[in-house]
Amino acid sequence: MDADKKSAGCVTCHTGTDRHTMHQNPGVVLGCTDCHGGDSIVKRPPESEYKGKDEAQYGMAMTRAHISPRFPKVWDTPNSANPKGSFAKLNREAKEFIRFINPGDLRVARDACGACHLETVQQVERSIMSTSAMLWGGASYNNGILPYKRYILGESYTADSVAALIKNPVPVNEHMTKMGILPQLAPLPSWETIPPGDIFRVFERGGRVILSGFPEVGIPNSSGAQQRLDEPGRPDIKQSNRGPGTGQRIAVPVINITKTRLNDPHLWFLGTNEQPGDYRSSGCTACHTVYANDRDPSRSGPYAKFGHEGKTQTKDPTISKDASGHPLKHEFTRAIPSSQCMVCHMHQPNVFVNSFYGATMWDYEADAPSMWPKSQKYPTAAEARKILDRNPEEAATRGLWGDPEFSKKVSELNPTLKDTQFADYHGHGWNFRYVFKRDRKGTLLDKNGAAVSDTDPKKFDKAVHLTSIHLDLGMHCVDCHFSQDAHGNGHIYGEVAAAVEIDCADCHGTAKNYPTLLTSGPAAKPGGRDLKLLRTQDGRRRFEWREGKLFQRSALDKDLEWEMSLVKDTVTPGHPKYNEKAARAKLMFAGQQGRDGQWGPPSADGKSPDQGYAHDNDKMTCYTCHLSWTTSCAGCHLPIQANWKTERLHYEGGETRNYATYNPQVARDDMFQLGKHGEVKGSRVAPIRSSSALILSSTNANRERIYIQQPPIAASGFSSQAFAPHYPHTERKTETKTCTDCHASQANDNNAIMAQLLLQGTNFVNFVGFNAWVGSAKNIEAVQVTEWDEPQAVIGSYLHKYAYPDWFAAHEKRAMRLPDAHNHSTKGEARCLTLRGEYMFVAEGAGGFRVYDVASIANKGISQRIITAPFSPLGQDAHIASTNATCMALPTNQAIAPERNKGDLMRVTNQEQAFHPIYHYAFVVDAVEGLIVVNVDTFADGEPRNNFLKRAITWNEGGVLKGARHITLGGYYAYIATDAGLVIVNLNDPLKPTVVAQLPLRDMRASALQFRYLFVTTADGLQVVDVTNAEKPALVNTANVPLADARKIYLARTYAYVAAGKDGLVIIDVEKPHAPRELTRFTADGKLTDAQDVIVGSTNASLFAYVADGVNGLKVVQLTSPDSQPKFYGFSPEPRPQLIAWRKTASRALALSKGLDRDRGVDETGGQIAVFGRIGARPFSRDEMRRFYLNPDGSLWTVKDEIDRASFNAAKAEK
Amino acid sequence: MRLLSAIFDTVVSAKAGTQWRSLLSHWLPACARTTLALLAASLFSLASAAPPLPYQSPHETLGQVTCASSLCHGAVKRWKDSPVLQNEYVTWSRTDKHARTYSVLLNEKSKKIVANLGLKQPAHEAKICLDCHAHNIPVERRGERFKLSDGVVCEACHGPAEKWIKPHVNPVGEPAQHHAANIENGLYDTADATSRARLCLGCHFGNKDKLVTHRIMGAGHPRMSFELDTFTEIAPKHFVIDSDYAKRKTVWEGAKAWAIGQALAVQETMDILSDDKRGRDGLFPELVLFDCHACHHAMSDGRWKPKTAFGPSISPGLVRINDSNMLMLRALANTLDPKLGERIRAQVLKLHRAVAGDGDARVEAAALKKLAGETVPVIAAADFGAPVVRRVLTELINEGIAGYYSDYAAAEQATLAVSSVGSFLEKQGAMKSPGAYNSSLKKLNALLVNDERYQPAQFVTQLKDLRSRVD
Repeated sequence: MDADKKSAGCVTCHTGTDRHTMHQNPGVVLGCTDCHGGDSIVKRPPESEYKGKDEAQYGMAMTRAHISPRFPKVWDTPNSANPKGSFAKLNREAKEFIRFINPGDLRVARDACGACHLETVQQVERSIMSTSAMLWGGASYNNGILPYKRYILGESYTADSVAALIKNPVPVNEHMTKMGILPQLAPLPSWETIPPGDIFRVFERGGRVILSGFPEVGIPNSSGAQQRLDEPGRPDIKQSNRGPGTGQRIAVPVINITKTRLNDPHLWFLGTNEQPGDYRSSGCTACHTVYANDRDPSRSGPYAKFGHEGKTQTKDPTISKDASGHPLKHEFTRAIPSSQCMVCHMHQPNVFVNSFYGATMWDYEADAPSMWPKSQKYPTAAEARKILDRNPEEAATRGLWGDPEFSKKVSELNPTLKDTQFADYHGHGWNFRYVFKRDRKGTLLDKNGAAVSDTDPKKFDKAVHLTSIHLDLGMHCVDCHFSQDAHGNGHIYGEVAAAVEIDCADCHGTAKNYPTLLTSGPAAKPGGRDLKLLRTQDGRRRFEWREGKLFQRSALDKDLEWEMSLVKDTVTPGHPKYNEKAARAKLMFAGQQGRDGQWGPPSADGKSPDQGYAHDNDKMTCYTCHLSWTTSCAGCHLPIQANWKTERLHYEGGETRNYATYNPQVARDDMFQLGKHGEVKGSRVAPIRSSSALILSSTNANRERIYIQQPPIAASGFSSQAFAPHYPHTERKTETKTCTDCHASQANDNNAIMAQLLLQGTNFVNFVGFNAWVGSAKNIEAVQVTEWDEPQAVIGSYLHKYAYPDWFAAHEKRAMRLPDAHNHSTKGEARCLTLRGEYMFVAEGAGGFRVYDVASIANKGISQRIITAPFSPLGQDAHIASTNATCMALPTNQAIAPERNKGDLMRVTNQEQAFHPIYHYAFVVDAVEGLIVVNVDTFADGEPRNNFLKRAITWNEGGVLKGARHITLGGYYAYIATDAGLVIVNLNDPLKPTVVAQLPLRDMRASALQFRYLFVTTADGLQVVDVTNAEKPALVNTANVPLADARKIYLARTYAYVAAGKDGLVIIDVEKPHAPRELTRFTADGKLTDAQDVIVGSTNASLFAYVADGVNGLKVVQLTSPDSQPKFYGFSPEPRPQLIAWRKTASRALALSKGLDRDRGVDETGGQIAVFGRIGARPFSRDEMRRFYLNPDGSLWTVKDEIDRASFNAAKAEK
Repeated sequence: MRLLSAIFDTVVSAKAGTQWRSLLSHWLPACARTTLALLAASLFSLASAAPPLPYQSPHETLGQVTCASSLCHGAVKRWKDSPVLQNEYVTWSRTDKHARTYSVLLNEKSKKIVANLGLKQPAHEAKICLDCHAHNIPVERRGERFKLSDGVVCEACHGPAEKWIKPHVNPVGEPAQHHAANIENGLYDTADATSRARLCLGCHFGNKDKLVTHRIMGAGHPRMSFELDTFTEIAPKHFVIDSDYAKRKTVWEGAKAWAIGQALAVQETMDILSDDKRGRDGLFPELVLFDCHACHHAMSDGRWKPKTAFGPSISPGLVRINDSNMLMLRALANTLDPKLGERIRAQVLKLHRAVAGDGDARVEAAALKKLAGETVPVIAAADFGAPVVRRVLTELINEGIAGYYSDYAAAEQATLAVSSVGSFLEKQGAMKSPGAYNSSLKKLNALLVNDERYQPAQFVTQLKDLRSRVD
């Protein structure tokens, strides 16, 4: 037969193969060259042998039979393993060669797989698994590079590897647009030509004196010296004297996309084939041909036994059994293990396969002694480069796991570990830790909810590993995500959520209906896919109803099936599967009946409650409750370095200068937040996670840090500390969310939980960077508190000790004194200061309100790093004179640009809500003049020559603000401390403030707000004001912690930190705000005795307090560490303060700038602050938030988790 | 009864082309076994050359998944440019009862039947059940993806695909030759009416390897009812006979298929009757061969009449053989060759008498089988054009009017027959007023809803009405 002819020569060497045609179906008749090309006439010379591969005759025959690459070194010819990290090198090969090594590659798949499966090949080309549109779109929008929330970029190539624009096969109409379908995707331009989205100071106009190296052609002055003439008073640090997209005026996040290995490579390229979790091919083959990536059967199924080193089991004698980078077999399958999906769905904290596994990224701290070398590593540039090509996290260049031989065995350390347990896959070289069930304090819990001791050697066996319940059943990704979810439906999408076909209800049904087994997700075809038709690779029906029960059979395990949980059964009283808690949750009445706790099934004649059910499917997604934990990535640091020549990983490839490592900062599993999904998901309530919150730094060719740790601003003007609706894939049956996770509890012990839930923030994961910023009697001062290198450990901390043992020793030798600081004098006491972007906003008493330029704080090329006058006073003046500016507040310390959020593009096309007007302003309180409102938008417009400040209003109606000394903003309510006590001002119209309430307090000093409570310091110590209704504040009489000299106060989740003068740092447990309880007074053995202010922030897995200790300067206190508090992964572990570093400041330290808010997406009155990914998604409005806990009349309603049977009640028929 | 009604439910969803099929959905017989129809083995001469039935094939069965790809027969919608529909698997999977024959064995009723029969294995493991409820082939002929639990699968009818799948997917030569090549490689020729009849009757009537005996019925097995042409339509059928089909395969007129089926069914009955093993059950003959209602009626019923369709009745109190297929065969023969019809009548009467003790039943059965065999070539040679079909139909109705369908079984079989034959006439455009005919047929069906309340007089009255709609 013809097919045999096409294999005739091939099989003389490849004498055995697993599946002749790759297909299990014998109906497929193919010869080798039908797919691979090559020359099947050539036969093995009879006398030569496979063993003699190097033998001339054999080798010559092979060369003639095979297709040779253009770059044999890249492909390690004649070896057949996929090379390591080939990326865009594939684009430089001829398609004949690509077809030879992988006929399933998308460049050539039309000639092989596409001969029969053309439609599928076309679908895959347009799917987001190939285009990566969601990543590029999200990154470009959230970081201000492109203003299109209906994304326009995506990766695609022609058969000749030329970057291609792809179009949707049919014109996109209005309905399709609503469903998230995009008309086309264009290739990504090279990063050097893209203007910066971020308006950092160095990107502002200017740059005449910078030695850019641009030739000045056609200008009489050939050396360009004239153009470089400096302007008086204007030190020019700008990046280019050309336009945007030249010199260094480029988009740093795009460098990240093209050069730093993040989530990529995707289907257009081979896997990187360099460590467990990275082995795969490209195109169709990427999924349908299994590689050995993970030794855990729950993730690799039957393939687990073949190890995790990408070695083959093929019968083909010519394929090396020892070389990594070969598929297990020459065989296609639909029995694809999750470990194969994980190769791409890998991004540390927020891609779903990790959460499905119950794993999240490791934080460099847990079990640090096992993961860091005993003696500090000083990687050479070459060593670092080698590691970073595989693993973009800079910490890997210093840790033991930078060595792949170490990392692939990390899970073998598990029995010896005390803080965590590691997974067995290490794609990108990363380490993943398991997430365990804990209470809010961080105590491990077993399946019955009983505490597991931190010292129990079997604690990780006893505590519940929070995997998806689906994983526990033996399910793999492909057991829910069938062919369409993998291939796409042929349309172009920009968001993953819109491209999903399956929905929970398709298999589980709803409280009202049994499942249809027809898909109903946003990308499902009309009518849905009939799941009853599906079969597994080995031929079993996937789904089957039997006697009223629904069974699903495993896609991978021939002997495995499981019974589906049917929601309707669980809520039907009397049914064997009835579950009272499930029934209460699903059948809780909406409206007043529900607020009264009434629940139950429809009435006998089928009537639902008057206002329906509170938690109906059309109001919220199933996974809003059925998740056990959510991954949240509170920030990543991308420090670009100009001197690092690296390869571009996409498109044309090739080397250019500049490279940015990728450094996750705080990844937590304890944050549960809700918001509204976009219209594609029915605008339902869904879990929200922190995502892609970048901060950027740049070190230029002279190793000057021209900006550091700067958050860019989203295209919509919102902060880039991004959030997004998210399906966490951590479904459990027992460890789900319950009443008090979302509603005010009867015990009143979930105030912090509610603040977190509604995205108002908890001040816990806040980012205090390289510097802590101190306001003092005569100065403002930046004290360097972390290392610059990654990980940016706080100096003197637990992590510092293990990551940098030499430097830690040096620190101890300095008696823990921090060596580096920079300051600038002030004209009065700097009692309130806020860092936002590259500006420091300061209320400096007699000096009034001033905005300092601190862009160059880490730039060694600048002598005065904090400046008031970046150029002539004629060109700018960032100062408001006032009598006694005691304090100031910005509505957010996240960088924002309200002026960008305007017009039809934002309002209509991008479906963005408007900024509340308060976000244009800074609010300054003056003890004499009252409230001064100042528009500060000018600092976000990229134009330095208009930076003049003027008072928008000065307001002190009837002298109500006499003696004002502190201001806290909670949305458009300002809580101002005055001589008379608390004054609450409504700033809904910021230019027309109105007093809404006054509460007399004895010498109120400061305040801090968390959800329903304002915590205040007064002459009486800590007091608590109930501000559930800000216009009717009520002092909580039961709540008073007496303190002799309480100064400022900081709230971080369930603890209040009070700077208590000579009593040092007083930590107060405020889990129950009506009954605060002093936990500890910390004076560091008498070293901390003049505490004036305190802030708290997280670095990696640990919590730190920074204390402005008056005459003693700055104190750095480690509050939790794996050593001091084994419960450090808890939502609010009990702090165990330890002094780890200090520095005397230039004058008496009075105040600190709060760390960058990282879990605050919205303010207390519903004003959005941070960008939301997913078009149409947003945080709750004020009214929506209030519905979680307030009756329409503004009174509180509460819940408890215990079931009250008296509240069970069938709905009454409507009259 | 539930089985049949469920079958008819599917008819509705399968877009019944003619009304008579949906009429059947009203028709819920309820007792034991009546067999109807169709063909079975063909001529004696052909019988020896008959290809093995799929379960007898020496080839390996590959399994349902092999056919089910969306690029093969698993398309959700039929393809426009393909000679076949390409959604055959979907049709089978969604609406064809053959897809659920195995899972039926897991239900409570099956457990009860097995318990009543005293079988040691559960139904889904018992050969006696699996032989019809699944493609129960020897283990060594099951391919790596074969699943017994899929029930009556593609290859259970189309033959194990081991040898034919490659030429089937990648055919060589002219399209007209493809089908023949596949058959040569082991594809079972379901396009041939005789082969199809043998195949279907194998389970729906019984053959030498399988038979739903009176014991199984007694244990609780639902009543079985079958007529090939009708059941092909209501399966629902997953093929369309068009010009393209005609190019590749033999097209049989439905009425002729029905006719041959009657002959083969009579032959099969006679085979069993004369077989010492299969035809006996202890002291008793195999009661499944007899008219259910001969026994299954109230003692006070007094339904015995001194006359049968074939002549004077045997005496009261005797159990009468189920002669419904014979009635159909005679009606056919009366039309095509009245002499032959008369010989059949005489022979059936002889058989009845012999069964009642007046003669040797085995001898008479053999003679009737031979006679049925003689009928086949007559049928095969006949031109089943509209005039002939109309005469057959008239004859069937006339016999009823003459009071020959006094038994429920005969009335049921006759109704299926007039449905099928009438439909054929309708398709040829030879029915004057199909609407009126079908509406009358619907009323006829309604009389058969409950076998235990069957009133022969009403049936005759309605047949008279039907008769007036035929011309």
